[in-house]
Amino acid sequence: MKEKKKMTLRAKKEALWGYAFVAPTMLGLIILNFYPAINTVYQSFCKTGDFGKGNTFVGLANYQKAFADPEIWQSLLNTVKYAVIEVPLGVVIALLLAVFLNNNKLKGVSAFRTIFFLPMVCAPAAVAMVWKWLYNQQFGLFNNILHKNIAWISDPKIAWISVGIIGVWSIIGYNMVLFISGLKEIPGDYYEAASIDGATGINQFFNITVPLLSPTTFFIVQTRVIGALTIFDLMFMVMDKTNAALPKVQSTVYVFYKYTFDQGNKGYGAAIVMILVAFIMLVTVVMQRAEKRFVFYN
Amino acid sequence: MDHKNGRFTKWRKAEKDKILRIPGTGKKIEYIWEYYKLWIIGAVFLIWFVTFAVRQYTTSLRDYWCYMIFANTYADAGDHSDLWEDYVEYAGFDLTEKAVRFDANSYFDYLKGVTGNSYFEAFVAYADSGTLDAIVMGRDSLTALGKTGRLLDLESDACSSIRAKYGDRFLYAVPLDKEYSTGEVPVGIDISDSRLVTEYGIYSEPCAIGIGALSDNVESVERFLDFLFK
Amino acid sequence: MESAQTKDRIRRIIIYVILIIMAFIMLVPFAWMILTALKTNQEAISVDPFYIFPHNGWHWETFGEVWKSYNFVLLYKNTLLMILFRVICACLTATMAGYAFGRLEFPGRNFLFSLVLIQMMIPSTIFIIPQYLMVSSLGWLNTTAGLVFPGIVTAFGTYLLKTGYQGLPKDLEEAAGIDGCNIGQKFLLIMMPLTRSSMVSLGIFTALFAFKDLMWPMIVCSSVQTTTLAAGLAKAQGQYGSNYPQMMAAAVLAVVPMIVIYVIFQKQFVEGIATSGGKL
Repeated sequence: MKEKKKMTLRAKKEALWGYAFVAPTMLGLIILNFYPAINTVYQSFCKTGDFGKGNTFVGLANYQKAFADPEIWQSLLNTVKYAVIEVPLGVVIALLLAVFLNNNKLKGVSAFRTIFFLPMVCAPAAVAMVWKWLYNQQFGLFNNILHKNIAWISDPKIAWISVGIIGVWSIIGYNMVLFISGLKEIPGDYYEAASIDGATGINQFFNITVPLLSPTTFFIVQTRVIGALTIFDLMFMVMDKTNAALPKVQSTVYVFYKYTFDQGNKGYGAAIVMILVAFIMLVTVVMQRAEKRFVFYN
Repeated sequence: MDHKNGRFTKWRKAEKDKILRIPGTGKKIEYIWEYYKLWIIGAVFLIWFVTFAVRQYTTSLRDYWCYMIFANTYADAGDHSDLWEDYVEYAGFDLTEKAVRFDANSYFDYLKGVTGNSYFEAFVAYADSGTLDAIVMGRDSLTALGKTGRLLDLESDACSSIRAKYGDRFLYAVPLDKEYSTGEVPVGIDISDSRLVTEYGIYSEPCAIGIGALSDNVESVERFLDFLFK
Repeated sequence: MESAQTKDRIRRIIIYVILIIMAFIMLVPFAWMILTALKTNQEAISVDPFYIFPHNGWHWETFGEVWKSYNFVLLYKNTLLMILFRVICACLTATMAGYAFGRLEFPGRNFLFSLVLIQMMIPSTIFIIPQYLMVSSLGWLNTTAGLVFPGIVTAFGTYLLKTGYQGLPKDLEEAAGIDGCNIGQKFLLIMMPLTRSSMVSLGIFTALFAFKDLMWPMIVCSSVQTTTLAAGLAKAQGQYGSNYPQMMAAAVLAVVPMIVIYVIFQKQFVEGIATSGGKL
């Protein structure tokens, strides 16, 4: 009896500390993000008041219109296709590079780390110019090497792959930084013990690195899935508005942006965002379920 | 694992005792600085930052008499330019009470596409938040921009006095939103022959002014028009 | 012994080859930026992209011109101040929340954490206008406080630190509990120093996102005097038209402090081993 009472007191204390610790973040998120988000939810039930006329409440009309719009469904499909390329490739390549670069015996490791960081700080204009040149049908490097005449970014059948490759390229650095920090937190004695037991590099990788790194990996996969599903700037960086492949490549956020910003139809844009967020939440719930099975915590 | 962690906590405690045991205040401070300098620097910066933010909050001007954008011009039309000074003097605004803002650092053309253009995003933020009172740009660009509904319909009641004076200069656009109107809506006022072009030389092409859809200061814009045509 | 050594050497060579190929791929846009900066404008916009290197001499003077015509010192100052405060605020709030979400039990924890996740799912463009109105009513337009404002808390960082804290061994905390630490002391003295490398990567990302953010500084700091590098350069581009060499020279100059920051942080990664992990 006494034991139980003591436990609840401790649990109460712990809960108080917990609330105190999350308070600044939650308060900030509510003011900075959730208040605007609720505003958007409300807006999605409204017809935007143009030309200075106020908003009018229209109920579910925006949602009905969005669900009947093939452009929205196509854009969701495009977004998923993009994520399917970017997330696995970006994660695997970054993991391999991070493992290589975590070896401090290798010479020039910090130079390589800095080089892999460079794409992240490059001016977006330079990145766009380089990729447009690589993909250029007439003068592009790829077509010149392959001796082919492929329309990399204007053929609807392959443009989504081309855009996905740019996505992988630009995300490797991010993932790598996170993997390196995850690797640093794996205690060194695990490896020492393993090498005494005679485990080779590849064995160590699969038996120690992969399981112990799984929380970091899950974090990266989770955040990258969310990131890929809300991708936007890649689309307008390399694809012109007149590009024939645009309908087969544009992401949902791109469509949202087009309505909200370009056309001033904020109510409809808000409805699109709500559909997208609902979709991402669904994916996240599935992933959180999977976390319990695949992720190893000490 | 257990013994290690015990050792770790003990180390922390030992460190605390070590600080307390060091003779002399100067030495103590030196030691604390050596070990906790990042924390101390961070805290100092944070305090400075909060003080600064609070001071800003209490002293700065938050309201505008008039907030205008002069888009796509390389001429000097920003704050404290000749145009700005003359307009403030003409309108007789009290600058200690509210500010007058002329933003001549904006480059976008709705005709050429605006996706991903940060100037356009800024314009949208100003227009949709009700900050923007008026925007001046090329005539065709302005009427194209007017289609989106981000400029005030000059038929509305707020503009009755502008309509009376400058109704013959109105420029029209057909809204993208067909439910609003399928016909033409007046969104801009042609100011190609005003002093903006002839005297100040801000634009060389035909230009026009549009009023922000959520503007509270239509009167200031009217005064600006009066000033341009005086 | 001999064969193990050669095997090791071969493995090392393979790793180097992979790293060098990847480094080359990663370097292309940066090299492109520098090469474009050295060209004349004619060459830079030339249709034939096999004009990789400047033909009419290497125009190093573009960097000097750009340095003089843009107010770099001011822009650096504004940017570094914004980055500094965002990093301090983000690390502080995220490490506290991350610890609570990762190690403490309290009712509503999963619900609150799902709010953190949801924040990451919403396209950030919808926050801009309400946040602008807040900053405007606080009187922080055209100030560092306004620039820092949306970065005070970070959902990404909270999640990152939560993962970091979750990865730490359980018995560590129990041992501290026996020694009579309360939760605050446990957090400050034992747990927080161990997540140092997560904090360093949060620092890198916060700095990076703040550095690259264009839309927010553009809206909040309409004056060139108070804005950041990214927005200041974008504004200047509009002003000077599309002079690609100047644009790229300015972009290269803008990037330099970011690389320095990264190199400093990276050193922290390497030093991190000494204080974290199993070395204690």
